[in-house]
Amino acid sequence: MTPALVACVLLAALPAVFAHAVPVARWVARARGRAAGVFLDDRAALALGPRVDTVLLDRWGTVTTGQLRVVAVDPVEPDHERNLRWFAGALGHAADDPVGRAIARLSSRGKLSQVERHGGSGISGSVDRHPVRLGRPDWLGMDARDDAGVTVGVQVDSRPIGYITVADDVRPHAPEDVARLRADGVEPVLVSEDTERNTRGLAEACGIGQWYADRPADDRAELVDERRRGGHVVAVAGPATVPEADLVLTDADVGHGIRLADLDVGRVATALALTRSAARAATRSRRTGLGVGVAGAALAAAGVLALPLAIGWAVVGCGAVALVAVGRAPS
Amino acid sequence: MRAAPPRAALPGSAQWMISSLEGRVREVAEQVTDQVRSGVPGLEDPADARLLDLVFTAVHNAMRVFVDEALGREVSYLPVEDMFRKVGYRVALRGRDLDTIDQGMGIAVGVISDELRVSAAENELSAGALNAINDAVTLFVGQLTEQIGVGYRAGAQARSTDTGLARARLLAALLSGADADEVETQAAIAGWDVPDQVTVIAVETGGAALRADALGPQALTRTGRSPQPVVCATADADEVVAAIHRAAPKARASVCWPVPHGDASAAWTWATRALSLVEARVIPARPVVECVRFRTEIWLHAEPVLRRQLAQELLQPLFNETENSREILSETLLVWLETRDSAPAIAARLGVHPQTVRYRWKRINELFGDALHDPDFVVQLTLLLKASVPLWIAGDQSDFRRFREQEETG
Repeated sequence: MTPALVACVLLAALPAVFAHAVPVARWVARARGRAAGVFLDDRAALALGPRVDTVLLDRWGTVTTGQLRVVAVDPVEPDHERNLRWFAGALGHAADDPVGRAIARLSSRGKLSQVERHGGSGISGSVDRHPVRLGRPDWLGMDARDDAGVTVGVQVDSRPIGYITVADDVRPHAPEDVARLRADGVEPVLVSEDTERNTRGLAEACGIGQWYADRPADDRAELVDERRRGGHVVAVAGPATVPEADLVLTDADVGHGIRLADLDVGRVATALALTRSAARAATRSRRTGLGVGVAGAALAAAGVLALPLAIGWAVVGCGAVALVAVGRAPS
Repeated sequence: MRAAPPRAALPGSAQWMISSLEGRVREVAEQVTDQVRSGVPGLEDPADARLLDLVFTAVHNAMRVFVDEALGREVSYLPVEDMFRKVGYRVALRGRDLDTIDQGMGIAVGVISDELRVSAAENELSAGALNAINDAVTLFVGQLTEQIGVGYRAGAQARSTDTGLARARLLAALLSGADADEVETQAAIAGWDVPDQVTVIAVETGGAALRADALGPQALTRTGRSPQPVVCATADADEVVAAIHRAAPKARASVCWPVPHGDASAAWTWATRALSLVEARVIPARPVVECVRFRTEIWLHAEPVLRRQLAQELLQPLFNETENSREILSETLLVWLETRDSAPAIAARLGVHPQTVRYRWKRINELFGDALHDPDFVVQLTLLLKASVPLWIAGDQSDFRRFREQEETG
């Protein structure tokens, strides 16, 4: 073979090399991910994503906004409703737990003093010089309530003035996003440290069929193991990283897994969909590159493609490979 | 009552004539006074007007006593003698000599004798009866002249007394609410012109007493009393207060607002009460307590026992509350009673959230109920809270303790 012929063959085979050497599909997935608040910087995570068939969704931030919200204000006397909102809300500003933060949104800040936190029982303090206590009804000597969510009693001047109930603030599109996960072949499983009753209510509201209740945050490894033993590839979406998981989706920069702008279950679904579409696009582009490269090399070897035609074949072939790698964005 | 001096009984006709003169006693006393004013040199001076008033009162009372005794009624000589001693005392203080008294007595006896003669002629009284009346008059006049002499000697001695003591006496007269005559008398002795408006100052010296000479001649004061009283003309008040602090830098001076000198006694009460209220922390403790700024407090704390009893009666609902609750509810109620403002306005004044005020108002209505619609109750409550709340805020819990004790004893 003459050197000219060899050059023509190599040029005509260039699309196959391009398809295998240049990760266009990954670049496209990363770009699309960034636009959607999904950071696919970890190549291993990108590779693992398409295999995930189970995702453990932490209660905080995925199907909920990560906050609680007040769902009921029940004064002992109707006249006390505003007082209940004001005094409980003012004291709530001094609380450092989700229940307190939810109640704090009922009112502006007031003049607070002598604030004391009483473990899991509640919080006490002085609002405009009135002694106020906010906490479990039994701690305050008030009748217990059987409402869904968390119900706290409120006392002002040592007199009970009512109850406030808070519950998870469910993301409005959580049921649709959960359905999208399931449509992609990923089974969502809700994990919560809340009671069985509240967890079941939340799962049902989001259309999730499996859940774990009364599970503290440091219990995730055990759940992952349990699922993996069943032959599943398990991802965990939550505020904390779980090393035992196959894939971690979190809003913190932990250096591996997929980092998300937030833990919204919709974003989790988008992240996993992106990994799948990237994998599919990479496969398609390799096949396309191989086909175009082999055909070009054959034509060049047969002398059909002179040097100018071989160059044109290489350019058009690489372009076709790139187009196939870009493909369509996942819905 | 002093027994009447032995005097010959008057015959019946003389008694009858005197009884006919009974209705003219005042008229004759006025004649005597007029004659004395015109007959004794120097008594036309307006400054002697009070002296002449005293002369008239003394003569009128003396004639009344004489008539009563002549008609066999029971009489007391003490008031009349005291009044004639005062006449003598006053004459001496004004620097007159005894001749003035002799002239006056001569004129008075002359006028009365003329009246008796005319009346005797009109009533055809016998010479013996008229002589008996004249003898009795002469005896009575002698007795009164003796008292005038006693008073004159006392007055003359007072004039020669040390002026420091005299100023102290004047101060005492002013602060005790002595009558104008007494004040004028003491002022004359002390050589201190009593101004129309005076300023009364109660001083807690915080150490040694203030010396009178440290305050200058325009201020009256006396040591040995705590708080130490100081009185001066209102025009000199600022200067005197400055002198007080120069002499005693740690002193606290309670300065009453200007009053007529006749009200100096009341002003002293107010100034000392203001100091007591400073002690009770109702009034802020400052080197100079300007009473005019705390008139309401001074007024409201004038009747501590009444305040206490009203508090036990009207504030019972509050006493069942905790100390903290009682304090904040009463504070809010008082502001509302004083201003009748909206919740946000009251909240701004108290430095709390408007909803806190609405909550407190609900509690207040629960505690007092319909009583808050009774105007009398509201007025009493306002005054009571105005007086009591500062005490409670200052830490005085005696009302509450008293209520608890009453509850425990049933």
